[in-house]
Amino acid sequence: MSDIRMKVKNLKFYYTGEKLALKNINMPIYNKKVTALIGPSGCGKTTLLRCFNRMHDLYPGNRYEGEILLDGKNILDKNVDLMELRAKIGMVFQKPTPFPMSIFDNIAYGLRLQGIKKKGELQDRVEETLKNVALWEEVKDRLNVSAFSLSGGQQQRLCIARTIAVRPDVVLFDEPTSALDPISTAKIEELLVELKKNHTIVIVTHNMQQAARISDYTAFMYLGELIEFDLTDTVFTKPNKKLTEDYISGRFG
Amino acid sequence: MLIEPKLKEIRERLLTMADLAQSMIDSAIKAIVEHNLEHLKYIKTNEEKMDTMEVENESLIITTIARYQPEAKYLRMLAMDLFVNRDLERIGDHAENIKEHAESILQKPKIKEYVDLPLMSELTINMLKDSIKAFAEMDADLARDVIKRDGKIDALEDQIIRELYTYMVEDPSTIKVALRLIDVVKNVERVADIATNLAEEVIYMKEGKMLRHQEVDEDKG
Repeated sequence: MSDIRMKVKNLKFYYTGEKLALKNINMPIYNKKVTALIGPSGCGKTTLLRCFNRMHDLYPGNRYEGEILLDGKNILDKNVDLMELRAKIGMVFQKPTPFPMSIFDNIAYGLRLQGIKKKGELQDRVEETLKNVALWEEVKDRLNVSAFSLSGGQQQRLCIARTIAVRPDVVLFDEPTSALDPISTAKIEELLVELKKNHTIVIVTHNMQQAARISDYTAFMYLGELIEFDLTDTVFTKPNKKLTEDYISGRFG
Repeated sequence: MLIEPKLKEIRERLLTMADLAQSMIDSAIKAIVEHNLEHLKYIKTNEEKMDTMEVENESLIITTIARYQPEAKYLRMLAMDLFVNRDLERIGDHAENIKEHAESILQKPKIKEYVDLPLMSELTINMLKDSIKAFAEMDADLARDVIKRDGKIDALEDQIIRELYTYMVEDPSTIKVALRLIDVVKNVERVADIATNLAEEVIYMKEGKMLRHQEVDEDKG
Protein backbone atom coordinates (compact mmCIF):
# COMPACT_ATOMS: atom_id res chain seq x y z
CA MET A 1 0.00 0.00 0.00
CA SER A 2 1.18 3.51 -0.76
CA ASP A 3 1.32 6.47 1.60
CA ILE A 4 -1.97 7.90 2.71
CA ARG A 5 -2.36 11.57 1.77
CA MET A 6 -5.89 12.15 3.02
CA LYS A 7 -8.04 10.27 5.44
CA VAL A 8 -11.81 10.45 5.67
CA LYS A 9 -12.93 9.60 9.20
CA ASN A 10 -16.54 9.04 10.25
CA LEU A 11 -17.68 11.66 7.77
CA LYS A 12 -21.34 12.60 7.72
CA PHE A 13 -22.72 15.36 5.57
CA TYR A 14 -26.09 17.07 5.84
CA TYR A 15 -27.52 19.32 3.16
CA THR A 16 -29.69 22.25 4.25
CA GLY A 17 -32.81 20.90 5.90
CA GLU A 18 -30.83 18.13 7.59
CA LYS A 19 -30.96 15.74 4.68
CA LEU A 20 -28.25 13.16 5.45
CA ALA A 21 -26.32 12.71 2.20
CA LEU A 22 -23.20 10.92 3.45
CA LYS A 23 -23.54 8.26 6.13
CA ASN A 24 -20.38 7.75 8.07
CA ILE A 25 -17.75 7.48 5.36
CA ASN A 26 -14.28 6.14 6.18
CA MET A 27 -11.64 5.85 3.51
CA PRO A 28 -8.04 6.71 2.68
CA ILE A 29 -6.84 8.72 -0.32
CA TYR A 30 -3.42 7.47 -1.35
CA ASN A 31 -0.62 9.80 -2.32
CA LYS A 32 0.07 10.20 -6.05
CA LYS A 33 -2.59 7.69 -6.98
CA VAL A 34 -5.88 8.06 -8.79
CA THR A 35 -8.90 7.25 -6.65
CA ALA A 36 -12.23 6.94 -8.46
CA LEU A 37 -15.60 7.41 -6.79
CA ILE A 38 -18.29 5.44 -8.58
CA GLY A 39 -21.92 4.59 -7.96
CA PRO A 40 -25.40 5.26 -9.34
CA SER A 41 -26.92 8.76 -9.42
CA GLY A 42 -27.64 10.09 -5.97
CA CYS A 43 -25.17 7.79 -4.24
CA GLY A 44 -23.21 10.73 -2.80
CA LYS A 45 -20.04 10.53 -4.88
CA THR A 46 -20.10 14.18 -5.97
CA THR A 47 -21.18 15.23 -2.47
CA LEU A 48 -18.12 13.46 -1.08
CA LEU A 49 -15.82 15.00 -3.67
CA ARG A 50 -17.09 18.47 -2.80
CA CYS A 51 -16.33 17.89 0.87
CA PHE A 52 -12.65 17.56 -0.01
CA ASN A 53 -12.28 21.25 -0.83
CA ARG A 54 -15.23 22.49 1.22
CA MET A 55 -17.28 23.48 -1.84
CA HIS A 56 -20.43 22.93 0.23
CA ASP A 57 -19.50 25.96 2.32
CA LEU A 58 -20.69 28.14 -0.57
CA TYR A 59 -24.25 27.38 0.49
CA PRO A 60 -25.43 28.18 4.00
CA GLY A 61 -27.02 25.46 6.09
CA ASN A 62 -24.82 22.59 4.87
CA ARG A 63 -23.15 20.75 7.70
CA TYR A 64 -20.23 18.32 8.09
CA GLU A 65 -19.56 15.86 10.91
CA GLY A 66 -16.41 13.83 11.36
CA GLU A 67 -13.01 14.60 9.90
CA ILE A 68 -11.12 14.78 6.64
CA LEU A 69 -7.41 14.82 7.34
CA LEU A 70 -4.93 16.23 4.84
CA ASP A 71 -1.42 15.40 5.97
CA GLY A 72 -2.85 14.85 9.43
CA LYS A 73 -4.71 18.17 9.66
CA ASN A 74 -8.51 18.29 9.73
CA ILE A 75 -9.66 20.39 6.76
CA LEU A 76 -13.20 20.55 8.14
CA ASP A 77 -11.93 22.63 11.04
CA LYS A 78 -13.68 26.01 11.28
CA ASN A 79 -10.36 27.89 11.30
CA VAL A 80 -9.18 26.53 7.98
CA ASP A 81 -8.53 29.27 5.41
CA LEU A 82 -10.64 28.16 2.46
CA MET A 83 -8.61 30.08 -0.12
CA GLU A 84 -5.50 28.34 1.07
CA LEU A 85 -7.26 24.99 1.20
CA ARG A 86 -8.52 25.31 -2.39
CA ALA A 87 -5.03 26.18 -3.56
CA LYS A 88 -3.85 22.92 -2.00
CA ILE A 89 -6.83 20.95 -3.24
CA GLY A 90 -7.79 22.07 -6.73
CA MET A 91 -10.89 21.13 -8.66
CA VAL A 92 -11.82 20.56 -12.28
CA PHE A 93 -15.49 20.56 -13.23
CA GLN A 94 -17.70 18.67 -15.62
CA LYS A 95 -17.99 21.43 -18.19
CA PRO A 96 -14.88 23.33 -19.21
CA THR A 97 -15.01 26.70 -17.43
CA PRO A 98 -12.29 28.90 -18.87
CA PHE A 99 -12.19 32.48 -17.60
CA PRO A 100 -13.22 35.11 -20.19
CA MET A 101 -9.64 36.11 -20.87
CA SER A 102 -6.66 34.97 -22.94
CA ILE A 103 -5.17 31.49 -22.80
CA PHE A 104 -2.09 32.94 -21.10
CA ASP A 105 -4.07 34.85 -18.49
CA ASN A 106 -6.21 31.83 -17.65
CA ILE A 107 -3.09 30.06 -16.42
CA ALA A 108 -1.38 33.17 -15.03
CA TYR A 109 -4.44 34.16 -12.99
CA GLY A 110 -3.81 31.84 -10.06
CA LEU A 111 -0.06 32.40 -10.24
CA ARG A 112 -0.53 36.17 -9.91
CA LEU A 113 -2.82 35.57 -6.94
CA GLN A 114 0.02 33.60 -5.40
CA GLY A 115 2.22 36.68 -5.73
CA ILE A 116 4.21 35.78 -8.84
CA LYS A 117 4.59 39.09 -10.68
CA LYS A 118 7.79 38.79 -12.72
CA LYS A 119 6.99 38.45 -16.40
CA GLY A 120 9.76 35.95 -17.09
CA GLU A 121 8.75 33.69 -14.23
CA LEU A 122 5.09 33.86 -15.20
CA GLN A 123 5.95 32.96 -18.79
CA ASP A 124 8.05 30.02 -17.67
CA ARG A 125 5.35 28.68 -15.38
CA VAL A 126 2.63 29.09 -18.04
CA GLU A 127 4.76 27.25 -20.60
CA GLU A 128 5.66 24.47 -18.14
CA THR A 129 2.02 24.01 -17.16
CA LEU A 130 0.75 23.95 -20.73
CA LYS A 131 3.39 21.37 -21.57
CA ASN A 132 2.27 19.26 -18.62
CA VAL A 133 -1.24 19.05 -20.05
CA ALA A 134 0.07 18.47 -23.59
CA LEU A 135 -1.52 21.70 -24.83
CA TRP A 136 1.63 23.75 -25.45
CA GLU A 137 2.22 22.64 -29.04
CA GLU A 138 -1.38 23.40 -29.93
CA VAL A 139 -1.53 26.90 -28.45
CA LYS A 140 2.01 28.27 -28.23
CA ASP A 141 1.47 30.60 -31.20
CA ARG A 142 -1.79 32.06 -29.90
CA LEU A 143 -1.38 32.51 -26.18
CA ASN A 144 -3.02 35.91 -26.31
CA VAL A 145 -6.25 34.86 -27.98
CA SER A 146 -9.40 34.23 -25.97
CA ALA A 147 -9.63 30.85 -24.24
CA PHE A 148 -13.09 30.48 -25.78
CA SER A 149 -11.50 30.04 -29.20
CA LEU A 150 -10.31 26.58 -28.13
CA SER A 151 -12.26 23.36 -28.74
CA GLY A 152 -14.12 21.73 -25.82
CA GLY A 153 -11.37 19.21 -25.20
CA GLN A 154 -8.68 21.89 -25.35
CA GLN A 155 -10.69 24.10 -22.99
CA GLN A 156 -10.88 21.26 -20.50
CA ARG A 157 -7.13 20.71 -20.72
CA LEU A 158 -6.69 24.44 -20.20
CA CYS A 159 -8.85 24.23 -17.06
CA ILE A 160 -6.73 21.33 -15.82
CA ALA A 161 -3.63 23.43 -16.55
CA ARG A 162 -5.12 26.35 -14.66
CA THR A 163 -5.76 24.08 -11.68
CA ILE A 164 -2.33 22.48 -11.59
CA ALA A 165 -0.45 25.74 -12.30
CA VAL A 166 -0.60 26.63 -8.61
CA ARG A 167 0.85 23.19 -7.81
CA PRO A 168 -1.92 21.75 -5.64
CA ASP A 169 -1.28 18.57 -3.63
CA VAL A 170 -4.60 17.06 -4.58
CA VAL A 171 -6.71 17.57 -7.70
CA LEU A 172 -10.41 16.75 -7.67
CA PHE A 173 -12.15 15.93 -10.93
CA ASP A 174 -15.92 16.03 -11.16
CA GLU A 175 -16.90 14.08 -14.28
CA PRO A 176 -14.21 15.85 -16.31
CA THR A 177 -15.01 14.17 -19.62
CA SER A 178 -18.79 13.85 -19.61
CA ALA A 179 -19.13 16.88 -21.92
CA LEU A 180 -16.40 15.70 -24.31
CA ASP A 181 -16.18 13.54 -27.44
CA PRO A 182 -14.35 10.17 -27.31
CA ILE A 183 -11.04 11.46 -28.70
CA SER A 184 -10.86 14.37 -26.25
CA THR A 185 -11.90 11.97 -23.50
CA ALA A 186 -9.03 9.62 -24.33
CA LYS A 187 -6.60 12.56 -24.21
CA ILE A 188 -7.87 13.68 -20.79
CA GLU A 189 -7.67 10.10 -19.48
CA GLU A 190 -4.06 9.81 -20.61
CA LEU A 191 -3.36 13.18 -19.04
CA LEU A 192 -4.85 12.07 -15.72
CA VAL A 193 -2.61 9.03 -15.62
CA GLU A 194 0.34 11.32 -16.37
CA LEU A 195 -0.65 13.85 -13.71
CA LYS A 196 -0.50 11.35 -10.89
CA LYS A 197 3.29 11.46 -11.07
CA ASN A 198 3.06 14.80 -9.27
CA HIS A 199 -0.45 14.97 -7.84
CA THR A 200 -2.91 12.97 -5.83
CA ILE A 201 -6.10 12.62 -7.82
CA VAL A 202 -9.71 11.96 -6.87
CA ILE A 203 -12.20 11.60 -9.69
CA VAL A 204 -15.95 11.21 -9.77
CA THR A 205 -17.19 9.48 -12.88
CA HIS A 206 -20.46 8.12 -14.14
CA ASN A 207 -18.50 6.11 -16.62
CA MET A 208 -17.55 2.91 -14.87
CA GLN A 209 -15.14 1.90 -17.64
CA GLN A 210 -13.34 5.19 -17.20
CA ALA A 211 -12.82 4.44 -13.51
CA ALA A 212 -11.52 1.00 -14.50
CA ARG A 213 -9.11 2.41 -17.05
CA ILE A 214 -7.52 5.22 -15.12
CA SER A 215 -7.81 4.66 -11.38
CA ASP A 216 -5.58 2.80 -8.94
CA TYR A 217 -8.24 2.65 -6.23
CA THR A 218 -12.00 2.57 -6.56
CA ALA A 219 -14.65 3.52 -4.01
CA PHE A 220 -18.13 2.23 -4.75
CA MET A 221 -20.89 4.22 -3.08
CA TYR A 222 -24.59 3.56 -2.77
CA LEU A 223 -27.30 5.67 -1.09
CA GLY A 224 -24.79 7.80 0.81
CA GLU A 225 -22.74 4.87 2.05
CA LEU A 226 -19.32 3.65 1.06
CA ILE A 227 -19.98 0.04 0.12
CA GLU A 228 -16.54 -1.01 -0.98
CA PHE A 229 -13.10 0.53 -1.28
CA ASP A 230 -10.22 -1.41 -2.78
CA LEU A 231 -7.61 -1.60 -5.51
CA THR A 232 -9.27 -1.04 -8.89
CA ASP A 233 -7.81 -4.36 -10.07
CA THR A 234 -9.74 -6.09 -7.28
CA VAL A 235 -12.99 -4.12 -7.55
CA PHE A 236 -13.29 -4.87 -11.27
CA THR A 237 -12.31 -8.55 -11.18
CA LYS A 238 -13.39 -9.91 -7.80
CA PRO A 239 -15.25 -7.36 -5.68
CA ASN A 240 -15.95 -8.36 -2.09
CA LYS A 241 -19.56 -7.21 -1.89
CA LYS A 242 -22.47 -8.54 -3.90
CA LEU A 243 -23.83 -5.02 -4.34
CA THR A 244 -20.56 -3.94 -5.97
CA GLU A 245 -20.56 -7.00 -8.21
CA ASP A 246 -24.14 -6.26 -9.30
CA TYR A 247 -23.31 -2.63 -10.07
CA ILE A 248 -20.08 -3.40 -11.92
CA SER A 249 -21.78 -6.06 -14.03
CA GLY A 250 -24.56 -3.64 -14.93
CA ARG A 251 -27.44 -5.20 -13.02
CA PHE A 252 -28.54 -1.84 -11.67
CA GLY A 253 -27.49 1.78 -11.60
CA MET B 1 -4.44 4.39 -25.74
CA LEU B 2 -4.09 3.50 -22.07
CA ILE B 3 -4.34 -0.22 -22.86
CA GLU B 4 -1.19 -0.29 -25.00
CA PRO B 5 1.45 -0.30 -22.25
CA LYS B 6 -0.44 -3.19 -20.63
CA LEU B 7 -0.48 -5.17 -23.88
CA LYS B 8 3.24 -4.57 -24.23
CA GLU B 9 3.89 -5.74 -20.68
CA ILE B 10 1.89 -8.93 -21.26
CA ARG B 11 3.66 -9.60 -24.54
CA GLU B 12 7.08 -9.16 -22.95
CA ARG B 13 6.19 -11.52 -20.14
CA LEU B 14 4.96 -14.13 -22.62
CA LEU B 15 8.13 -13.81 -24.66
CA THR B 16 10.25 -14.36 -21.56
CA MET B 17 8.21 -17.46 -20.86
CA ALA B 18 8.63 -18.59 -24.47
CA ASP B 19 12.42 -18.32 -24.23
CA LEU B 20 12.35 -20.40 -21.11
CA ALA B 21 10.06 -23.03 -22.67
CA GLN B 22 12.26 -23.33 -25.71
CA SER B 23 15.47 -23.74 -23.74
CA MET B 24 13.86 -26.35 -21.49
CA ILE B 25 12.85 -28.56 -24.42
CA ASP B 26 16.24 -28.06 -26.01
CA SER B 27 18.09 -29.15 -22.85
CA ALA B 28 15.84 -32.14 -22.18
CA ILE B 29 16.45 -33.56 -25.66
CA LYS B 30 20.15 -32.76 -25.57
CA ALA B 31 20.46 -34.79 -22.37
CA ILE B 32 19.15 -37.88 -24.20
CA VAL B 33 21.01 -37.41 -27.46
CA GLU B 34 24.33 -36.60 -25.80
CA HIS B 35 23.68 -39.08 -22.99
CA ASN B 36 24.51 -36.40 -20.43
CA LEU B 37 22.53 -35.71 -17.24
CA GLU B 38 24.14 -32.29 -16.85
CA HIS B 39 21.61 -30.79 -19.29
CA LEU B 40 18.71 -31.64 -16.99
CA LYS B 41 19.98 -29.47 -14.16
CA TYR B 42 17.74 -26.44 -14.50
CA ILE B 43 14.58 -28.01 -15.88
CA LYS B 44 12.83 -28.55 -12.57
CA THR B 45 13.40 -24.98 -11.29
CA ASN B 46 12.47 -23.54 -14.66
CA GLU B 47 9.29 -25.57 -14.74
CA GLU B 48 8.28 -24.19 -11.35
CA LYS B 49 9.14 -20.69 -12.57
CA MET B 50 6.87 -21.26 -15.59
CA ASP B 51 3.97 -22.35 -13.36
CA THR B 52 4.24 -19.18 -11.30
CA MET B 53 4.49 -17.04 -14.42
CA GLU B 54 1.44 -18.69 -15.95
CA VAL B 55 -0.72 -17.84 -12.95
CA GLU B 56 0.59 -14.26 -12.79
CA ASN B 57 0.10 -13.72 -16.51
CA GLU B 58 -3.42 -15.09 -16.42
CA SER B 59 -4.36 -12.73 -13.65
CA LEU B 60 -2.76 -9.81 -15.49
CA ILE B 61 -4.63 -10.63 -18.71
CA ILE B 62 -7.99 -10.99 -16.93
CA THR B 63 -7.46 -7.72 -15.06
CA THR B 64 -6.56 -5.98 -18.31
CA ILE B 65 -9.72 -7.27 -19.98
CA ALA B 66 -11.80 -6.12 -16.99
CA ARG B 67 -10.21 -2.69 -16.82
CA TYR B 68 -9.86 -1.72 -20.45
CA GLN B 69 -12.85 -3.51 -22.04
CA PRO B 70 -10.94 -4.22 -25.24
CA GLU B 71 -12.63 -4.53 -28.60
CA ALA B 72 -11.67 -5.85 -32.05
CA LYS B 73 -7.88 -6.21 -32.40
CA TYR B 74 -7.21 -5.69 -28.70
CA LEU B 75 -9.84 -8.20 -27.69
CA ARG B 76 -8.43 -10.82 -30.06
CA MET B 77 -4.95 -10.19 -28.74
CA LEU B 78 -5.88 -10.57 -25.10
CA ALA B 79 -8.05 -13.63 -25.72
CA MET B 80 -5.17 -15.26 -27.59
CA ASP B 81 -2.66 -14.15 -24.96
CA LEU B 82 -4.62 -16.33 -22.54
CA PHE B 83 -4.19 -19.33 -24.88
CA VAL B 84 -0.54 -18.56 -25.59
CA ASN B 85 0.10 -18.35 -21.85
CA ARG B 86 -1.40 -21.79 -21.30
CA ASP B 87 0.34 -23.26 -24.35
CA LEU B 88 3.74 -22.11 -23.13
CA GLU B 89 3.13 -23.55 -19.69
CA ARG B 90 2.26 -26.88 -21.29
CA ILE B 91 5.52 -26.89 -23.20
CA GLY B 92 7.17 -26.60 -19.80
CA ASP B 93 5.18 -29.65 -18.65
CA HIS B 94 6.37 -31.59 -21.69
CA ALA B 95 9.98 -30.63 -20.96
CA GLU B 96 9.48 -31.91 -17.43
CA ASN B 97 8.02 -35.20 -18.79
CA ILE B 98 10.96 -35.63 -21.16
CA LYS B 99 13.34 -34.92 -18.29
CA GLU B 100 11.80 -37.71 -16.21
CA HIS B 101 12.14 -40.17 -19.08
CA ALA B 102 15.69 -38.98 -19.71
CA GLU B 103 16.67 -39.69 -16.12
CA SER B 104 15.53 -43.28 -16.58
CA ILE B 105 16.97 -43.66 -20.11
CA LEU B 106 20.39 -42.39 -19.03
CA GLN B 107 20.71 -45.13 -16.43
CA LYS B 108 21.16 -47.64 -19.27
CA PRO B 109 23.58 -47.65 -22.17
CA LYS B 110 22.36 -46.20 -25.47
CA ILE B 111 20.44 -48.78 -27.51
CA LYS B 112 21.43 -47.00 -30.72
CA GLU B 113 22.92 -43.80 -32.09
CA TYR B 114 20.06 -41.36 -32.42
CA VAL B 115 19.54 -39.94 -35.89
CA ASP B 116 15.87 -39.16 -36.34
CA LEU B 117 15.21 -38.06 -32.76
CA PRO B 118 17.67 -35.12 -32.96
CA LEU B 119 16.25 -34.26 -36.38
CA MET B 120 12.66 -34.37 -35.11
CA SER B 121 13.64 -32.29 -32.09
CA GLU B 122 15.49 -29.76 -34.19
CA LEU B 123 12.54 -29.34 -36.53
CA THR B 124 10.18 -29.05 -33.57
CA ILE B 125 12.34 -26.47 -31.83
CA ASN B 126 12.54 -24.51 -35.08
CA MET B 127 8.74 -24.62 -35.35
CA LEU B 128 8.54 -23.38 -31.79
CA LYS B 129 11.10 -20.63 -32.40
CA ASP B 130 9.30 -19.49 -35.52
CA SER B 131 5.86 -19.54 -33.93
CA ILE B 132 7.25 -17.41 -31.11
CA LYS B 133 8.89 -15.09 -33.65
CA ALA B 134 5.56 -14.90 -35.51
CA PHE B 135 3.88 -14.01 -32.19
CA ALA B 136 6.49 -11.38 -31.34
CA GLU B 137 6.32 -9.79 -34.78
CA MET B 138 2.66 -10.53 -35.55
CA ASP B 139 3.80 -12.25 -38.72
CA ALA B 140 0.91 -14.30 -40.13
CA ASP B 141 2.96 -15.55 -43.10
CA LEU B 142 5.56 -17.09 -40.86
CA ALA B 143 2.75 -18.57 -38.74
CA ARG B 144 1.26 -20.24 -41.85
CA ASP B 145 4.67 -21.67 -42.67
CA VAL B 146 4.93 -23.19 -39.19
CA ILE B 147 1.54 -24.87 -39.54
CA LYS B 148 2.60 -26.49 -42.82
CA ARG B 149 5.64 -28.07 -41.16
CA ASP B 150 3.64 -30.08 -38.62
CA GLY B 151 3.05 -32.93 -41.09
CA LYS B 152 6.76 -33.67 -41.28
CA ILE B 153 6.91 -34.05 -37.50
CA ASP B 154 4.02 -36.54 -37.49
CA ALA B 155 5.80 -38.57 -40.19
CA LEU B 156 9.04 -38.61 -38.19
CA GLU B 157 7.14 -39.67 -35.08
CA ASP B 158 5.69 -42.70 -36.93
CA GLN B 159 9.06 -43.58 -38.38
CA ILE B 160 10.92 -43.44 -35.07
CA ILE B 161 8.29 -45.47 -33.27
CA ARG B 162 8.31 -48.11 -36.03
CA GLU B 163 12.05 -48.35 -35.75
CA LEU B 164 11.90 -48.69 -31.97
CA TYR B 165 9.40 -51.56 -32.37
CA THR B 166 11.97 -53.46 -34.43
CA TYR B 167 14.60 -52.98 -31.72
CA MET B 168 12.21 -54.30 -29.09
CA VAL B 169 11.31 -57.33 -31.19
CA GLU B 170 14.93 -58.15 -31.89
CA ASP B 171 16.20 -57.61 -28.36
CA PRO B 172 13.73 -57.53 -25.45
CA SER B 173 16.42 -56.06 -23.17
CA THR B 174 15.88 -52.77 -25.05
CA ILE B 175 12.19 -52.64 -24.18
CA LYS B 176 12.53 -50.53 -21.07
CA VAL B 177 14.54 -47.81 -22.79
CA ALA B 178 12.61 -48.06 -26.07
CA LEU B 179 9.25 -47.54 -24.31
CA ARG B 180 10.66 -44.47 -22.60
CA LEU B 181 11.93 -43.20 -25.96
CA ILE B 182 8.49 -43.67 -27.48
CA ASP B 183 7.09 -41.46 -24.74
CA VAL B 184 9.79 -38.88 -25.41
CA VAL B 185 8.90 -38.85 -29.10
CA LYS B 186 5.22 -38.42 -28.26
CA ASN B 187 6.07 -35.50 -26.00
CA VAL B 188 8.13 -33.88 -28.75
CA GLU B 189 5.27 -34.38 -31.17
CA ARG B 190 2.93 -32.63 -28.68
CA VAL B 191 5.33 -29.69 -28.52
CA ALA B 192 5.11 -29.40 -32.32
CA ASP B 193 1.31 -29.44 -32.00
CA ILE B 194 1.52 -26.64 -29.48
CA ALA B 195 3.80 -24.67 -31.83
CA THR B 196 1.08 -25.16 -34.46
CA ASN B 197 -1.56 -23.90 -32.02
CA LEU B 198 0.59 -20.86 -31.27
CA ALA B 199 0.84 -20.17 -34.99
CA GLU B 200 -2.94 -20.46 -35.36
CA GLU B 201 -3.36 -18.05 -32.48
CA VAL B 202 -1.09 -15.54 -34.21
CA ILE B 203 -3.21 -15.75 -37.35
CA TYR B 204 -6.37 -15.15 -35.34
CA MET B 205 -4.81 -12.16 -33.60
CA LYS B 206 -3.61 -10.67 -36.84
CA GLU B 207 -6.47 -11.50 -39.17
CA GLY B 208 -9.36 -12.67 -37.04
CA LYS B 209 -9.42 -16.06 -38.83
CA MET B 210 -9.95 -19.23 -36.81
CA LEU B 211 -7.84 -21.98 -38.37
CA ARG B 212 -8.26 -24.68 -35.79
CA HIS B 213 -9.42 -28.06 -37.12
CA GLN B 214 -8.79 -26.85 -40.65
CA GLU B 215 -6.07 -27.69 -43.14
CA VAL B 216 -3.83 -24.73 -43.82
CA ASP B 217 -4.36 -25.28 -47.56
CA GLU B 218 -8.09 -24.70 -47.09
CA ASP B 219 -7.27 -21.30 -45.65
CA LYS B 220 -7.17 -18.78 -48.39
CA GLY B 221 -4.38 -16.84 -46.67
